Amino acid sequence: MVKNHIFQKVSLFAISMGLLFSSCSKDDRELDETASKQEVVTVKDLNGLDKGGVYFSLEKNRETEESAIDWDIKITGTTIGFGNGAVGQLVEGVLDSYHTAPTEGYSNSGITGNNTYYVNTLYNAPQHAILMKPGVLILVKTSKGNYVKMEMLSYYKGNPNVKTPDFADIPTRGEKWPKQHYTFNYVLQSNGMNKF
Amino acid sequence: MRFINCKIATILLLHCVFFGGISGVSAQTETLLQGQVVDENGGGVSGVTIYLPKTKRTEKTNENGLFYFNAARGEYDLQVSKVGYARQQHKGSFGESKCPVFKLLKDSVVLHEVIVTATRTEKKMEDIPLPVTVIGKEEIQQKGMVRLNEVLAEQPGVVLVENHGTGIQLQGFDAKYTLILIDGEPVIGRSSGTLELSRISMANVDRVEILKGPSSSLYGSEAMAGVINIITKKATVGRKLASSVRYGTHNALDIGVDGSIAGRRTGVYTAFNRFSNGGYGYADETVGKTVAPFYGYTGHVNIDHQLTPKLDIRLGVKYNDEYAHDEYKTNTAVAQEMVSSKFLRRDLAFTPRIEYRFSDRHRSFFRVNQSLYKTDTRIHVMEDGRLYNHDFFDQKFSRLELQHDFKVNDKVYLTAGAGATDEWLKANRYDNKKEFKAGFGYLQADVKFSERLNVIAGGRFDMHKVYASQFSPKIAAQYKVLPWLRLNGSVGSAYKAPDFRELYLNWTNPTQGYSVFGAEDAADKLNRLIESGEIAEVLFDPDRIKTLDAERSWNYQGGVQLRPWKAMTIGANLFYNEVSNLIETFVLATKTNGKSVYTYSNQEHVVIKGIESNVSYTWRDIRIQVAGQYLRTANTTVQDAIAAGKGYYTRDAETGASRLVRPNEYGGLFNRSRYSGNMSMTYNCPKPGLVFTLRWAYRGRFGVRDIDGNGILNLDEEYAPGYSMFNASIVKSLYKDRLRCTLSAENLGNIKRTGVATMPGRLFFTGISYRIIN
Repeated sequence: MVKNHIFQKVSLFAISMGLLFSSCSKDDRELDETASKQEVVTVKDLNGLDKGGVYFSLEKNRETEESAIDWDIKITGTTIGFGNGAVGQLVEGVLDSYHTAPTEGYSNSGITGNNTYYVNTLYNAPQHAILMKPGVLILVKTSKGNYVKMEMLSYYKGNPNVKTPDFADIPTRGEKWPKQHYTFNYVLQSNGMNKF
Repeated sequence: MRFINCKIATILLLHCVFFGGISGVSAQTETLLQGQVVDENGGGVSGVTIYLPKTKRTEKTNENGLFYFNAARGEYDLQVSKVGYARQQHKGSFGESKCPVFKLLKDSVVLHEVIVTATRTEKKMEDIPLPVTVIGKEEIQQKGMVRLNEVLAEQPGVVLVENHGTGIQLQGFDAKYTLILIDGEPVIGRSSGTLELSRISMANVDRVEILKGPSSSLYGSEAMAGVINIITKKATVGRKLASSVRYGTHNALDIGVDGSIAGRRTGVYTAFNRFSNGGYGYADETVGKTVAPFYGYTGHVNIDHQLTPKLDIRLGVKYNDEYAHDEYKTNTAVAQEMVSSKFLRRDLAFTPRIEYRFSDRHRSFFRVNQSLYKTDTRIHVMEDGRLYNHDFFDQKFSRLELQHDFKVNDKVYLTAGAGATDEWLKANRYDNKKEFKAGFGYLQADVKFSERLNVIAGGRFDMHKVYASQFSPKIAAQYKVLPWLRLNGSVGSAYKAPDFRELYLNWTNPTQGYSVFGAEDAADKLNRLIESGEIAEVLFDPDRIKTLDAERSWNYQGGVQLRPWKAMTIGANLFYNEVSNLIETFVLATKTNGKSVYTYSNQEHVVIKGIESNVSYTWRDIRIQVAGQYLRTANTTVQDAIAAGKGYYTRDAETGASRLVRPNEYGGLFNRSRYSGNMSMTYNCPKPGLVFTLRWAYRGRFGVRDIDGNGILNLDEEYAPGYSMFNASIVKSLYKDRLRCTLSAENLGNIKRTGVATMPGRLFFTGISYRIIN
C-alpha cells in the first residue's frame, strides 16, 4: 500500500512535470517562429590564402582590412581569432535548431587545434585534409555585443565533396581546391538578445 | 583372413593358458589378451599405438594389425592412435575367445574426437555444449600450412587483423580478447594486445582446438572471445623421424625436422624449425620494404616419463627466436639519414608437469609455467654508426598451478584448481620494472543428469594486486533431443584485466610530441609536467582519475547441431555479448606544444551479437564445408546518444549543413564485417594418391575510417570494400605415404591491402615432407 502511495505521488509528479515541460516547449516553438525570421548568411570561399589570413566583420557581412576597427573574426590557417572586443566559444549543435546562446563562457583567446571545430585527418583517408567537424557551432559575441551562431563548412575553395577519390588524391587536391578558402554559414541576432 | 588370424591366435592363447597358466595364482586373473585394428577396408593396420589407461601400458600392433597384452579378461578402455589416423577412444570386451576388432579412421573423417580445451579434461567433442572446432595435423598438412595465422585465416567466425602484428578477430572481438595457449599454457608477448600469430610454427603441432565464447571461468583474463589451444605432438612408442621443406614466393623458406623415441615408460619428442622470408613491399620501394627480411628458429622438446604406474612427469621446452634486418631513410623533417635497424624477438617457455593418479577416480596435475619473452630493436645511423634509437621489451611470466579431477561417479565429474602467477615487465616505455602478482582458484562440475542432458557449471576467482578481484561464472548445457539432434546453450561471464600498458605506460612520442600515461601513474606524471611548465591546460582533474577496473563481459549462446545423415552435419550458433568497462584513452590535458596528454579509463559499453552456421558434407572422396557469420556490433553509449538525438552529427550530402546522425546510419564498431563466410573443398583421390583442396574466405565490407569527423562509422565512404581470398593445394603421396609433395597457393586473387591484414599478394609454395623413420 505504501509503495502504491509513492507510486501515485511519483506519477502525479511526473504528469505535472510533463505538463510543465510541454508548456515550455510551446514557448520554444513560438521562439522558433521568430528565429526563422533571422536570415542565414552564407559566406563562400573567403580567401585567407593569398594574404596568409583574412579579417571579417560579421555585423557587416564583409571582409575588412586588418587595420579596420570593425572586424570580429580573423581566420589564419585553421585558427579563428577574435578582435575589437569580440569574443567567442565552441558549442555543440546544428545551426537550424540552436536557439539559445549561453551568456557566459566567451573568450577572446581564439580557437585553434585539431578536433576543435575541424579535424585533421592525418593518415585516415582522405589523408592530411582539414575537414570541418559536423555538429560544432562557433558562437560569437560581436564588438557591438550581438550574438552570432556560425558553422564552418569548408576549408577548401568551392566547398568540394570530400568523400570522392579525387579529393583524396593529395598531389592534385591543392590545384583543384586551394586551401584556406573558407565557406561558412552564420546567423546574427542583431537585437542583442541571446535567443535566435 | 582376419577371423582366421584371430582364431589361430586364440588357439595359441588357450595353449598358453593351459600349459603355462598354472604357475601362479595371478595367472588365473591375468591372461594374454588380444585385439585387432583394421582400416576402413577391413585390412589389419600395423604400427598402431594402443594405450590402455587401466594397465598404464602401451602396445603396438603387428603386421596383421594384432596386439596382445597381459591382463584379466573383461572390459577395457583403450586409446588407438597412428599417424594419419584419428586418435580414438574405444571400449572392448576382451576374453580368451574374444578378439575385439577396432576400426581406424582417417583423420579427416572422424567426428568423435576428444578435446581438452572446453573443460580442461578430455571430453568427446560431440558432448561439449559449446562451439568448438578442431583442426588436425592431417588437415594442416593437406592444405600446405606452416604457421598458425595461415590455419586460423580459414576458420569460420575468424578474421585476421593487423594491429602491431597479425592477430585474430574472433566473433567480432579484437585480438586482445582471445587467449592463446600451447598445451594449455598461455603464450606471452603481446604488443598493444596482439599476439603475433606467425610466431607459432605448425611443424610440431598435433591439433589446434578453438573454443568460442567466454572461458574466464577456467582460464581467467583474456578469454573473453574464446580460447585457441595448440596441442603439440608427443612421443609415441617406437622411433620416428620426419623432415619437411617448403619454399615459395618472397624466398619464403621453411625447414623442419621432428622425431621421437619412446619406450614403454619414457618418450622424447623433439622438433626443430627454421623459417626465413626475403621480405616484401606493397609498392616498389627502392629503399626499405613494408616487411623487412626476417628469419627465425623454433625448437621444441617434450619429454614424458612414467616414474611409477601412477605418476607421470612431462617437461615441455619451447624456444623461438626471430631476427629482422632493415635499412631505410628516417622520416624527420630536419635531416634524412640512412639507418639500419636490427630486430630480435625471443620467446622461451619451460612447462614441466606432474600427473598423479590416486585411483580411477582421483587424479592431480601440478603444472609450472616459466616463460620469457623479449624484443629488442636497435637503430643505428649508417654513416657514423651512432645509435639512433633503442627499443626494448622484457617480459617474464611464472605460474604454479594445481588441478585435481574427481570422478564422483559415472554421472558427476569435478575439476578444481588453484594457482599463483607472477609476471613482470621491463621496457623503455616504462619507468622501471613493473610487477603483477595474482592468485586464482576454479571449480567445475560436469553433471550428466541423464543420457540426454549434460550440464557443466563452474566459476573462477582471480585475485590481483592492482585491480579489483574478479569472479567469472559459467554454465553450459547440452540436450540430445534425438540421436542426430543436439541443443547447446550457455551463459557465462568473462573479463580482461587491465594490462601493463593501460596501467603503467610512460610514453611521449618523439616525433609527434603527445604523451600517454598509464592510469596508475598518470596523476603523478601530469603533476611533474605541470611543475616543469609543459602543460597549457588541465582538462580533467587528475585527482579524479580512477583505478582501472577489469573489462567485463556477459555472454549468452545457443546452438543446434544436426546430423541428419552420416555424411552431413549442420550447425548454427547464436551469440550475444555485452561488454562493459572497456578501457579507452581520453585527453587529460593539453601541452604547451599544442599536443595532448592521454591516459586510460573505463568508458565504453559494447554489444556484439551474431549468428554463425556451418554445413559439412562428405560425398565419396569429396568433403565440402561451408560456414557463414552474421555479426552486429554497437557501442551502446554511442547508440543511445544517437537514439536520443544528440552528440553525433554528420553533413548533409546536398547542402553541406550539419545534421544529426540517424539511428539506422550507425555502422557499429570499426573493422567488423557484417557478413563473412568460408568454404573448403577437399578431394581425396585415392588411386594416384592425390589430395586437392580449394578454399575460399570472404569478408564483407568493414569500417576503416571516419570522414565526417564525428568519430563513428556512419557513411558508406567510411567502409573498405569486402574481399575474397582463394587458397588451394595439391598433395601427392608416394611410397606408402612416406613421401609427400605439396604445391600450394595463397591469395590466388592477388589481393593487396595494407593496414587491414598482411596481404602481400599471390603466394606460391612448393614443399616436400619425408618420413625417414616411420
